[in-house]
Amino acid sequence: MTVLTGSLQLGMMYGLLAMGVFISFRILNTPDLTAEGSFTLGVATSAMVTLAGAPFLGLLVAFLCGMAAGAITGLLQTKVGVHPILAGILTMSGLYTVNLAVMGASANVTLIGKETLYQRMFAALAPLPKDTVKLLVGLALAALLLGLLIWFFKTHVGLCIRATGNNEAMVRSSSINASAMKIIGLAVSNGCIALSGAIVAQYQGYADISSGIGILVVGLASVIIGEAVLGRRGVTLGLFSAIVGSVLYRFIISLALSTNVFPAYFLKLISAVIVGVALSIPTIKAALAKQRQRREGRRDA
Amino acid sequence: MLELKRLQKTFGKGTVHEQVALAGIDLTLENDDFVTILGSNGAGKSTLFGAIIGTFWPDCGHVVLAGEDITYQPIHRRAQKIGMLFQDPLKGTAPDMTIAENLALAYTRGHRFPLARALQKRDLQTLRDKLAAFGMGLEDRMKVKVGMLSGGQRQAMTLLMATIAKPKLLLLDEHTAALDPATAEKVLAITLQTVREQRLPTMMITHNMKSALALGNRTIMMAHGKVILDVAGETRSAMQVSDLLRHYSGTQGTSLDNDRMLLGS
Repeated sequence: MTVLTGSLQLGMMYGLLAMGVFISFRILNTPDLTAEGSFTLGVATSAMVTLAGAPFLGLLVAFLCGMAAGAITGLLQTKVGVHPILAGILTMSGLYTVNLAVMGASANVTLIGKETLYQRMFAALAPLPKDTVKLLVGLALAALLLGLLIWFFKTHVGLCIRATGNNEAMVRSSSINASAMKIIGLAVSNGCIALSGAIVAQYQGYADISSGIGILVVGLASVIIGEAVLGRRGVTLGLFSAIVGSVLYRFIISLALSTNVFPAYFLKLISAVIVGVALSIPTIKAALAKQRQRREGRRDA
Repeated sequence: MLELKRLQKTFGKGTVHEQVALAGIDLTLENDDFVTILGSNGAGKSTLFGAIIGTFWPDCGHVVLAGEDITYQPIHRRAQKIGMLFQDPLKGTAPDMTIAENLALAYTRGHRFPLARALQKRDLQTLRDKLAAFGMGLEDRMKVKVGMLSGGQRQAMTLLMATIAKPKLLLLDEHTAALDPATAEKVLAITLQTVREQRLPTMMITHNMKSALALGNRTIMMAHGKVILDVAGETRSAMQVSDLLRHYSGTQGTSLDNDRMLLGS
């Protein structure tokens, strides 16, 4: 498997995650740490339903469970008034137990020898090479979700969610129920994130309780890389560039790993550095501009 | 019709900061009423609006709008019936959304299936026509983000958004005070036009005593959470700014103190 095919396959699947993170981070304008738990929730539910013999249903169940997790964070944020970051942490911590319970109190569940969604697709698209089928599955899922989300954010409720993230003061004094919009927005976001985990579990053929660690940073890195390449304009482009960013992120990582610049365990640190640097660029730019202004001012004096 | 019955509100009750904001307000607005509200700093003008739109609940008393008691109704429910403009033009619109999207938000509120497309072709034409009536050229910039507009343009949009769904009451809290004089006049003109067309009961807080007497059909003056003057008809048309000042010092024992009023006069 070449670096390119691998990056495309993974990039598409984690593109669902990136779109979910885009919804909370950019559209709702709130840092949501639920992702770490909801991704694993998707991994766990998808694996268990696949074990029970229904891999496609596994995706749906994962999506719904992710939505429920997001809704809980939303309820904590709005109805109980817990700080957004703390609300996410609470749900995430609670989900650790839930995820273990889903996986039958074990930290690993293997799908080896079981029929996953991929085995079914290999059979259905028989003449195609397996790597192509793997790519197509990710591509189809990403395209489907992208289309659905673009549509959703053009509906009345979608517009209300965007307004809530954009000017909460306005929405709070309007006829839009800001709390409900935040809850729905977080539910959709975490549904996407869980769906990402669900397909990843079937792709790699196992579920692991620690799949979600650092996953939020991966999502953020994808969103930021996408914006760096395609610019920051509107929701439709933003969702699309999240997928592009996810593919590029996988490409950068696998390139770095294949050239043996970094050992594999450096992954999370690299992601964190990418996000940290990208988020500090505006401040650095402003500081540089100030410095230039001062230098020119002195020259004039 | 709006009825305010014995509205009372004290902030910080039982603390050293205790402040009576509303000390029993009784007020009835008919459907044709355009009331201008005057008062010194801390007289309770904005607090009165807060009680009507539901920013807080009054300690006692009732707010009845078109026969329905809305005293304890959630903000987003009563907001369907009340349009409000604040002094800050940034408060009423979403900057990263386009003009069309902002208007669609207000236009489709409440009456459309949540998953229906928000911006439909036939709505777009209606919205354009309504914007065109303002004569600001905004109708040709429907796809521009609202953050790119000036304060006056944003306030005009807020006005359209507040009135587009035909509310039963319009509240204006010094909505032209943050604008330059020419823009303020323009926004005021389209406000009056909208109110006249919709026959909308309106309350307008202002610091300009001259326009308080000139605009609308009724003027009330507030001090220390009470209505100390409520005039309409001939009594009002015979009144001068000096009469207002005299009435204030006569009933309150001090002269009217509103920093913006002094600056603006």
